[in-house]
Amino acid sequence: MIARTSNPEARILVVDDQETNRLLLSTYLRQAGYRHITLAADGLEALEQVARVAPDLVLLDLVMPGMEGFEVCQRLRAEGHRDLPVIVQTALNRSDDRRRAFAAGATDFIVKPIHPQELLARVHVHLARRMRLRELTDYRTRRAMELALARRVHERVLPGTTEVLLAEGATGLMVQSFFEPSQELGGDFWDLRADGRGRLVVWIVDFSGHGITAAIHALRLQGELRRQPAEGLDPAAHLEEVNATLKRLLPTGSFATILVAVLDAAAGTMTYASAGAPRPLMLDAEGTFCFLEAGGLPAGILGKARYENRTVPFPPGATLLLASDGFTEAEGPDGMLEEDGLAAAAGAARGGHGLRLDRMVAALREKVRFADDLSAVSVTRP
Amino acid sequence: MSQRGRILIVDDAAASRDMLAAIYRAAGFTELVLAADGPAALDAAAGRLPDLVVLDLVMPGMDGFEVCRSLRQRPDFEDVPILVQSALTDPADRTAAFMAGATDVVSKPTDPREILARTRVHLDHRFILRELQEYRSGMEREFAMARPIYRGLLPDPAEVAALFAPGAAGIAVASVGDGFGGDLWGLAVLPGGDRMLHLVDVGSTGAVAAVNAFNVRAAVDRLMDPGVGCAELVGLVTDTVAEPGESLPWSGFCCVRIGPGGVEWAASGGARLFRLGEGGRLRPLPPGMLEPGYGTAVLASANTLEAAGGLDTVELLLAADPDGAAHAIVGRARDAGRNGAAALVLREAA
Repeated sequence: MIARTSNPEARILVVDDQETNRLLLSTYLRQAGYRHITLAADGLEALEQVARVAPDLVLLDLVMPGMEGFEVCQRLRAEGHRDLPVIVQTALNRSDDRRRAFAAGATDFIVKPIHPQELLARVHVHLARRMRLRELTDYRTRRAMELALARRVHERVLPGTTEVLLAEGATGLMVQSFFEPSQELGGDFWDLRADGRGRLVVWIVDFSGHGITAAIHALRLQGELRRQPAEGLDPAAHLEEVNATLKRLLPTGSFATILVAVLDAAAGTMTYASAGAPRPLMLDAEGTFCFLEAGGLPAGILGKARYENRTVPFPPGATLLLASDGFTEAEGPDGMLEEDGLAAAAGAARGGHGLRLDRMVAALREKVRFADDLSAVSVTRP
Repeated sequence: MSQRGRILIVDDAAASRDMLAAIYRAAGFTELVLAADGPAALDAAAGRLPDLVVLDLVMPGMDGFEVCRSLRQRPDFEDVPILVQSALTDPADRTAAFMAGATDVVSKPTDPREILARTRVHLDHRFILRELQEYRSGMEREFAMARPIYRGLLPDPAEVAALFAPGAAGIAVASVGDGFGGDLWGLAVLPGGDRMLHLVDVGSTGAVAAVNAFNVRAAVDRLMDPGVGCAELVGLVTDTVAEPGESLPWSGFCCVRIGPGGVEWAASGGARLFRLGEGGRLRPLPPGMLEPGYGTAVLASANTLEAAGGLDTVELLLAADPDGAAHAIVGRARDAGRNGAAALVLREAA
């Protein structure tokens, strides 16, 4: 009894120089329910048919006049048909023939006279594996495409050139930014607003984890932040509100590090508060730098977390750099970049319009390999 | 050169086991696990998953057929190749091995070069499949974590009931399928008491659907204002989330505002408001105000309406059970495979 195939639509190419063999094999396959069988009488015709019908499986005779089965197999593999199952069927049955067939790229090897049951069992195994491979490959292709689109949506919600120009105009400060999510989606973002009184409010946020969850949390929080007035914003009080919101929204174990800074060119000060954020870097006009205190509990962990304001001078020529830990934790041959490595790179990238972050990142890429999300924003007082 | 791959060798004859182990070792395979009978093989396979099993058919007690069948019952063994070795030359025995779940059958005595060639073919497939499978599992875990957050975008039924008192206006239903995408809707009470509904047919799938949905929702929440009319709101949200020259992040977006003065609405793309008119026929409405006396109206995306069977079917559903119509429309759309369907039925105050 012949078992019916579960893949009647699979396309099978039968290659044999003997007409009786072609007939016999195609009869077995038809009896098992395969509907799309193509025949080829020699090697060249086999290659043509592979190009024409794109079979899911090839049954290949080894000894044929003209191009032999070995060569057909080698050519198929060389032409990129890496995953196409090729079952060699032959009267040759020396160990050396089998070795040569596998070396030429055969997937399987069966000896004539063909036993229909075994032939069909092998055809079934290889077709099932091919379908599985295709299913999983299609899945990955589709998901990767969605992720790429989602990454672009995520990048677009960050402040664009217009928003930055407007904020610069309203505050007299110079802003530069850099954003690059890791291969998957990430939970980083930054934002800025002019507060209507000549001050600039800047946020840099990093959600724990990667992927869709981190990205949608980031979009959600950014939406929340933009709903609230920036005027008169008190960084510590603001973080306490955001923390309470995140505590409500985030599942246990998820959190975000946030730094929010209010830069006031008229008063020459910067007031900021940190929820577990990396330490901000301050460079002065002479190029000397210091890392400011940050600390604070990451947001979303404890509902009653309290945050504190710190105020530092922000004199003419000073530059503030807020950078995600994707920078300082990047590894290179000499170890982790750390804060000092970042400060040195920042110092070297100061130029006409504040801190040239693109140049800084390009220089850093020579030294370290970035694996995490990268986001950075710098503000310079002319 | 060391070869990747954990190989489980099952044979009751010590000489055969040792010979196979020697062949594999000579070829560079270092992760070899040996088992002398069926139960030992199942024990070994229950530990760290092998990448290939080389299995003797004829063994006392539990034979190779039975081992094969037991292994195939385990879901994690779906893609693990099982290479059966047999001195049985009867084609029927070989076929029976395939029926039991073998991936490949080779004859004894063992031809070292052949078994290594076949092993390489099977391991190559195994590694490709495993990598793809791990990608999928990782992605599915991520979706499982994100799904409840995504569902959280839909209003809570109690919230809906509180805002739409019986006899005042509306029944609203939504269902979200297994993935991301389909219809999402929301409602809010504006300062001054007007109620604002919006419906987005996200139109994409997977990660991009999730990100688009949150992005659109954030824009709606931020831009909604008593002084902003529906048409203006649709325009503002479009300007905020859409990139010039690129397709919109929805296949339909519709806003409806219900106030004492009447119902105002506007839409972008395939989301529409339909009014139940003369003779129980649904009529698509031009954007703008819904005149008093409209009676019953249905808000749905074009995709959901189509999946539910089109306007004629929706008319019948409304006629049969006006209160349950929204549920019925969503139920039909879901049965037709619509991932995420929503229908809102508005009824004018009595």
